[in-house]
Amino acid sequence: MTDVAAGVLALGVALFLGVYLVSVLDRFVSDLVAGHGLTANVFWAGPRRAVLLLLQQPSRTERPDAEAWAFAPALLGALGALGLATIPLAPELPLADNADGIVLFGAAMALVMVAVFLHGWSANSVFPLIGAYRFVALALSYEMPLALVLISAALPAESLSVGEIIRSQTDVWNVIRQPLGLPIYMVTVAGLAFWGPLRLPDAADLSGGTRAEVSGPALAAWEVGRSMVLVAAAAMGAAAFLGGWLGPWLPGVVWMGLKTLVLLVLIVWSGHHLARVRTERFVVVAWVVLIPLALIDVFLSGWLALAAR
Amino acid sequence: MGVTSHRGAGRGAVRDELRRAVGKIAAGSAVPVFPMAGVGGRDAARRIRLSRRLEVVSSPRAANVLLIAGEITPRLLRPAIRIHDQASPPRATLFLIAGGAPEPDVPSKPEAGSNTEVAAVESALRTHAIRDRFFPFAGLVHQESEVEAASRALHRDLVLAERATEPAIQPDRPPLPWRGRGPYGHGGKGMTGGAPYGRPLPERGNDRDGLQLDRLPLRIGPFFPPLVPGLLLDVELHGDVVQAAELGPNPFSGYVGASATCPFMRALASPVRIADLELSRARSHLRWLSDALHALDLSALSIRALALAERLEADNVPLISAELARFSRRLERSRTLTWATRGVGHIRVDQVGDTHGPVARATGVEADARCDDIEYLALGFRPIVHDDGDAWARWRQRIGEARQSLRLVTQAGDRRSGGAGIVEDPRGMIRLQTHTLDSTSQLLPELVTGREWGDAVLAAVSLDLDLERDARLTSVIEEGR
Repeated sequence: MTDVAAGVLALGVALFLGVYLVSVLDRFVSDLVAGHGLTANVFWAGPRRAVLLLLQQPSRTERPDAEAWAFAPALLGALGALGLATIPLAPELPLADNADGIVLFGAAMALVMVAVFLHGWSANSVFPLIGAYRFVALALSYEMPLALVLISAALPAESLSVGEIIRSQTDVWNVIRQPLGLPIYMVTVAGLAFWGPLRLPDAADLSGGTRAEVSGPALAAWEVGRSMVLVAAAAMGAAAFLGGWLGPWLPGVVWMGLKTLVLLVLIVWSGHHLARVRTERFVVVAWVVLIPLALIDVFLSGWLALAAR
Repeated sequence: MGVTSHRGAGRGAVRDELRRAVGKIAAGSAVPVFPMAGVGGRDAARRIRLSRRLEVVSSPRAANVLLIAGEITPRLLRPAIRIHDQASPPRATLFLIAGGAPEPDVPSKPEAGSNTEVAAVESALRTHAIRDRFFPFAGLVHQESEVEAASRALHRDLVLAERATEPAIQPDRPPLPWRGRGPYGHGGKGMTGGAPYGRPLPERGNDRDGLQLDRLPLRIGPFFPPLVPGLLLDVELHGDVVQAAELGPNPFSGYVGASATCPFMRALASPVRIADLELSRARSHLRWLSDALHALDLSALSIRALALAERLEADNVPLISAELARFSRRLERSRTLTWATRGVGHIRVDQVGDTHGPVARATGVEADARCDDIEYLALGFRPIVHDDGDAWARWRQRIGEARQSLRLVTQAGDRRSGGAGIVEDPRGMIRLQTHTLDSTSQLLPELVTGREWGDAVLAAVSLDLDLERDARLTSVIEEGR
C-alpha cells in the first residue's frame, strides 16, 4: 500500500516538474527566438498565467455538450499521466512497470485522439469542430509509425516491459542500434502533443482551433493536459531510445530527467522554428515515407536481435 | 449569534486577503489582449506583439483586454460588439483614438485647417461617439505609446477586482424562439425537423468529390486574426473545404481620405526621396512577413520580423540589411515553410488581370512602375520576378524585394522620384490618370474556392491585402474625377 502511495506521489511530482519545465522551456525558447533579452520572467510567466486563467470565468457557447467539454481536458491529462506511469523513472522507481507497459503506453496515446476530438466537438462551434476533424484525419498517420518504432525498441529486449527495454540497452542504446527509431518517434510526438509543425487542431488559422471557444480554468487544464502528454512522450523517448536511467556517476533518476529534458528541448525548439505543415502533406509524407521507414526499422531491428542471440 | 457573525467576518477578511494575494500573482502575468483594428489602427494593433507585457491571443474568449485601435466604421461596429460580448469576464475595452502612429520617417505636417486634419478630427469624434454610446466603461488613450501601460492598468484592476468587468452590450438571448426538437434541434420528422432559433438545418450540396454534404454558410471577419483587418468573406464550408466564397463590402469605404503621411501618396503629386519610398516599402514587406509568420503559429519569429520593420531607419540600413539576410536565409532553407506554402494559392498568368505589384511579379509578370522611372533606372533597378505564382513564390518575392529596397536606400542618396501621377507602392501600381484600381482582393474568392480552410487562409495571407489602401485609392481617384 505504501508502495502505491509512494508511486502515485512520485508520478505527481514528475508530472508537476515536467509541466513546469515545458512552460519554462517554451518561454525561454520563445524569448530567445524573438530576440528579447532573457529575464527571470521565464520562470514565473507560466505559473502566473495559470493563476490568471483560474480567475477568468469559463465561456459559454450555444448548446455545448457540457459534460464532454469538461471531460476532454481531464481525459487528456489522465492519458498523459497514464503514459508516464508505464515508464520506470529509475530502477528502484517502477510506477506501473507491468509486463506489457509499452502496449499500455501506446493505447493511452491512441486515446489522445478521443480527448482532442471531444474538446473540439463539444463547444458546438465551427472552428473547434474543424480542428477536431483535422486531428482525426491526422491521427492514424502518426499513430502507425509511433507503434512501429516502439515495437522495434521492444524487439532487442524480447519484452514489452519498459523496464526490460531499458535494461536491454546496457551495452548500446537503441538510438545507435536503431538509428531510424528516434527521429521517426520525435515526429510522431509532435503529432501526439499537437506541437510545433503538427499543431493542426489548435492552429492559428482556426483562431485557436479546438481551444477557440475555451477560456479560464478549462483553458488552463487543456494546456496542462497537453504538456502532460508531451512530458510522457518525451520520457518514453528517453526510455525506449536513450537508455532511460542508464548512465555513469549520476543516480538513475537524474539521467532519466536529463534525457527527457533533451527531448523536450528539441520538441519545444521545433515549435518556434518549424512552420505548421498542411494536413494533407503530412498525411502523404507519413504514409509514403514515415510508415515504410518504420517498417524497415522493425525488420532491421528484428534481424539484428535474432543475429545477436 | 454574535460569535458566529464575528467568525464569519474574520473568514471573509481572510478570503479577501487570499483573493488579493492570488490576484497580485495573476496581475503580474502578460495581459491577454485581443486587438481589433479600425481605420488607421492596423499598425498600432500589430505592434502590441512587440511588447513582452502584452500577449496577443487568437480568440477573444481568452482575452482580458480588447484593444480597439482606430476608427470603428458602421460596418465594423456590430462585429466589435459581438467580440466584446464573447470575451470571457473579467474583461475591459481600451480605445486608442488617434489612429496609428505616422510613418516614422515622414514628419506629418498637415497644414492647419487642411482637409486631412479636418477628416482626422471628424474621425476621432465619430469614434468618441461610438465609445460613449456602446462602450461607456472602456478605457481611452490617445497615443500608441500609452497602450501598454493602460492595458496593464486595466488588467491589474480587473484581476484585483478593483474594476468591475464590463457588462455585455447586447442581451445574451436567442434572436428567435427555440423551435428545434430534441436537445440539439435535430429531432422531428426525418433529418430536417425543427428550426433551432429560426435557423434552418443546413442545405445539402455536392462537394468537390461529388458527395452530398451539408453546406455551412459562415461569415468570416472583419476581425479574424489571421486575415487582414476589415476583410469580410462570406464562405460556404463543406467540412473544412471552402465550397463558395464571396467578398463582402469594404468596411473602410468612405471613411478613408487621402493621407499626407504616406510617402507613396505624396509621390503621386510631387517628387519624394527614393530612400524614403524604399524604406517604407521594406517596412511594409517586413510587416507582412510578421503577419504571415504569425498565421503559421510562429509567433516568436513573427516578433523578430516585426522588430526588424519597426527598428528600420535611414541610419541603420546596413545593420538591418545584414540581419534580414540571415533571417531570410533561414526562412528560405526551412523545409516546413515550403511544405506549408508551395502550391498553395496558385495564380495563373491569365488570372493576374489588373493585379499589380509583388503578387503579379511572383506570377512572372514583370510589371513595375519603377521600371519607367529614369531615377530608378539610373540606380540599376531591375524588378525581381518569380514564375511559380504560388504562396511560396510570393513569400520569396516580398523578402527579396525588401532586401532589394534596402540596397536601393543605400545607393539612392538624394535622388527623388514621383510627381507624375504614377507610383509603385508596396502592393502595386497606382496610376491616377487611367483610373485603374488594383484588384488583388478580387482574386481572393477564386483562390480559396475548393481549397481546405488551412490552405485558403495561407493563400489569403500571401496576397498582402490592405482594405484601407483600397478604400483610400477609391476615394483619391473619385476626388480626381
